[in-house]
Amino acid sequence: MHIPENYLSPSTCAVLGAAMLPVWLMAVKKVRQEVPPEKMPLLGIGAALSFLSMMFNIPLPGGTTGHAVGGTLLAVLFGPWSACLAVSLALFVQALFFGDGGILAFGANCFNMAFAMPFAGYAIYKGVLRAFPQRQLLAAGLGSYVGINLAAFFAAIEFGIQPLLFMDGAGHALYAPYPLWVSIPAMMIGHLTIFGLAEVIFTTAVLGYLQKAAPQLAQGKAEKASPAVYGLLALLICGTPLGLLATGTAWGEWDAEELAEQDYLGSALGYVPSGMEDGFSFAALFPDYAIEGMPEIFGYILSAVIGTALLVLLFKLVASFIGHKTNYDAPAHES
Amino acid sequence: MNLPLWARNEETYTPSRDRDYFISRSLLRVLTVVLALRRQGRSRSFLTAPGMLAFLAVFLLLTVMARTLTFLSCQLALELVILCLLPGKSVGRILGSALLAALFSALLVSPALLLGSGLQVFLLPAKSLLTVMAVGIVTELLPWHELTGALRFFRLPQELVFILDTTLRNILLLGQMAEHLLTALKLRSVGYNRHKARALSGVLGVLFLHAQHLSMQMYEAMVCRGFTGEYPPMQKLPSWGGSLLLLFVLSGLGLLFACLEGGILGRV
Repeated sequence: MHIPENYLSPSTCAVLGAAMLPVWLMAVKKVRQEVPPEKMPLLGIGAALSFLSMMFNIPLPGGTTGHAVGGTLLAVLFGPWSACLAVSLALFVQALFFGDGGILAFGANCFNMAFAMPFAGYAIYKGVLRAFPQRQLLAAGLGSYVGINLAAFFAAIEFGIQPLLFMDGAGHALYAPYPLWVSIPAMMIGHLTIFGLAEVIFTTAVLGYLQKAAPQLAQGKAEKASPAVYGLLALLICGTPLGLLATGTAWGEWDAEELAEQDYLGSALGYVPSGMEDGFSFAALFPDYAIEGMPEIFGYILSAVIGTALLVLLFKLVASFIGHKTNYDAPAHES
Repeated sequence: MNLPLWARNEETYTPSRDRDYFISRSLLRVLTVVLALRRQGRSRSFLTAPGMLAFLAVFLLLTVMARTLTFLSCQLALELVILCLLPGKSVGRILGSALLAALFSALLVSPALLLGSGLQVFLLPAKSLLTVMAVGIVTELLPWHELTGALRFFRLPQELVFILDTTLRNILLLGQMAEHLLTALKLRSVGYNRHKARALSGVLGVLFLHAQHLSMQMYEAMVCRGFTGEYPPMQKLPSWGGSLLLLFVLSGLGLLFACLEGGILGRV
């Protein structure tokens, strides 16, 4: 679901980035108010969970791939604002270090996966939980299903409006070439079936495991990560090479040239949209989670380790900076 | 209570602006060093000091010998995972100094980038990042006294160990003294005072004299307590679990180095 560089016009990216700005500010404010510094590293582990879940690519007939995001899971564990911040940072690490999702499209990706998904998923989760108070797993599963589909729907709309808004003189699209009537079914069929299911399975499996292994965390009361949580992270890291089984790429995600041969519109597209061919490009440190000179599997595991560690460290650092402020202006003895 | 007239008069004394920032700055610096030594009071890891020092030596050797960014990224992954287990404050300190070192070496090699040396240019900044981070992690995990003990384990000359040991102790004692002197200077100098800078050199002089006294006194005290100039090697054998873990990780790294740098995997 990651929108790569140059699939959206810079103006679309700017609009979505501007829309995310107040959300991020609000999220930072809310997290600062609600999450004590001791709990921050736990949020980092949540972000790492989301990062890892996005590395498990699932192949789909037709050549595209998709993945779970874990946005709703984080919203259930830490609240929607914290989830928004955690998924945003996971996406940031992916874009900056691994070239997954564009730097310019970062705002758009965050809008879909860090804003729409956790909030929608959390609302559904709360609603279902109110009706069936004992069914936390069912509520989380339903929430995650709705969340990922809403995010995919938004992504499809963002893709679909590109050819309507941005064309060159010859009638060729400048950016993503497929209009709404192609992009919405193409995105939604996959997400309503396999990827939605993958998200539900990921969310309920992790939540179910946490309920058994770390019940405090599952109820949002834990202050520190238990060994069970670290074990889960290690297990997921070791499992990430499964994501390599999916060989197809989604709409020329890693190579725009592939687009010219795809035939979503009935016949082969025949051209590479010019905005994508000579648009902004950013050289990530480990593009496509691959490390030069290393077998793919090792590179993938190593990328997972580095990404996970970076996210945990990031939240740890933030916690150490905002933690325990002493107010020297306060009177010594308040009476 | 009736106060005399002179005591009841309102006094309006506003001292003229004075610059004593340099005193606060030196005070802060001294305190940071003392704090860094103090914090290292107890052993926190189940890994033994000699094992960790040996690991560090091999780790640094591999870093220096590596010719590809691939192997360095493996080392980076290992260091990041260890950093995850440290408290946030130490992580900030270690990462800060490591990034600073990397930035400095990046500046040094930046002309090579313009000459078109490609990705190889980034080897040096990456290596400085890794080495500074590794040393930072080891000093974070190892208290000073264990460090000197470990040096003896490696049969380093006694004189060297003695000098290192006494230096560390003296830094702590003199740091405390400097702290007292600077605080006194700050408190006693009220208002605008032009002799402050001169007083600071006085502080240094007093410290120097004290250092001489201290070293004499300490040596005499050590001799009185039976010190014969010998540091017996550690009697305690390194714990098996920690050493085995280190050995396991080290052999994994060695294997990776052989594969990646020797090009074995590339040929497969």
